[in-house]
Amino acid sequence: MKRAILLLALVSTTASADCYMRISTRLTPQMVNSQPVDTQRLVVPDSRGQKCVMRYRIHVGNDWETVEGIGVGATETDACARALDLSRGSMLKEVSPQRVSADSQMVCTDLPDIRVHPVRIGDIVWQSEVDLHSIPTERKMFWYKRTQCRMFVERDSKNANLWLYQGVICQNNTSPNSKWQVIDKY
Amino acid sequence: MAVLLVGCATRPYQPQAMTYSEIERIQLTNADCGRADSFISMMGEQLRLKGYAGKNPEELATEEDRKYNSRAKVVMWSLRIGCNNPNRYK
Repeated sequence: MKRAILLLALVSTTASADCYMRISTRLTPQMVNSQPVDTQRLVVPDSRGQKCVMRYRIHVGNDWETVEGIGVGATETDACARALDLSRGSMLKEVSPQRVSADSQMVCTDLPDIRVHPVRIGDIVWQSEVDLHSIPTERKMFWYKRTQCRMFVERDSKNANLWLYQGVICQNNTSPNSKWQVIDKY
Repeated sequence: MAVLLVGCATRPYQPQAMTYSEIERIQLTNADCGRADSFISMMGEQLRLKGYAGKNPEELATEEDRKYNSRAKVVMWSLRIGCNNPNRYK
């Protein structure tokens, strides 16, 4: 009996997926503060070759946004290059009933959900899990111990006090889509 | 030959951390890059003496602790970033 309950629990866990509203928002390069980062791809065969769904994060205004783009091409490389074209991207917003409108589509995905959250020294994170620095000149990358790093800020409101921390994250290795380690926070 | 020390101070030397206002008065210029490593290690020592080393800011008990920790780390990172990335602020 215990085994049956465990199995049921596993089935319900693996079947769940996060759902979002896909909102077609035209993004102009002026609005965007970063290149696409933390990209995740899903490639499936298509009658025209390969279909690539790219999910990535870009910093727009003051926030990281999740964007999804779909591209079709003869090869995986072509399809994914098209999917990463910002002009084809649609922002993904978490599902909330007020946001549903006639031109919205709900999409569900098992890809990992990346969002800004509090971090601790030593944590391994995606770059867009921490906020860009609020001062634009402090957003630039820098080198520290032969790794590429950048500063971040974290807001913490507790007991009616707002704490603003800053910190440093450094890329784990040189591959373009690698994760980052929280080196310091203060 | 045996030397007998009589009447010497017996209290062991206990280094004390700099005060917040002493750390706040530190002004850095490009000329300090030549001794950046010793500055950084001195600031690290202050954090160790205070018991803040390796701690997240949320773990520090008071606002004064967080201010001190933050100010010392700003000095350390200003040297690490500014001295090794000369084109960053151009």
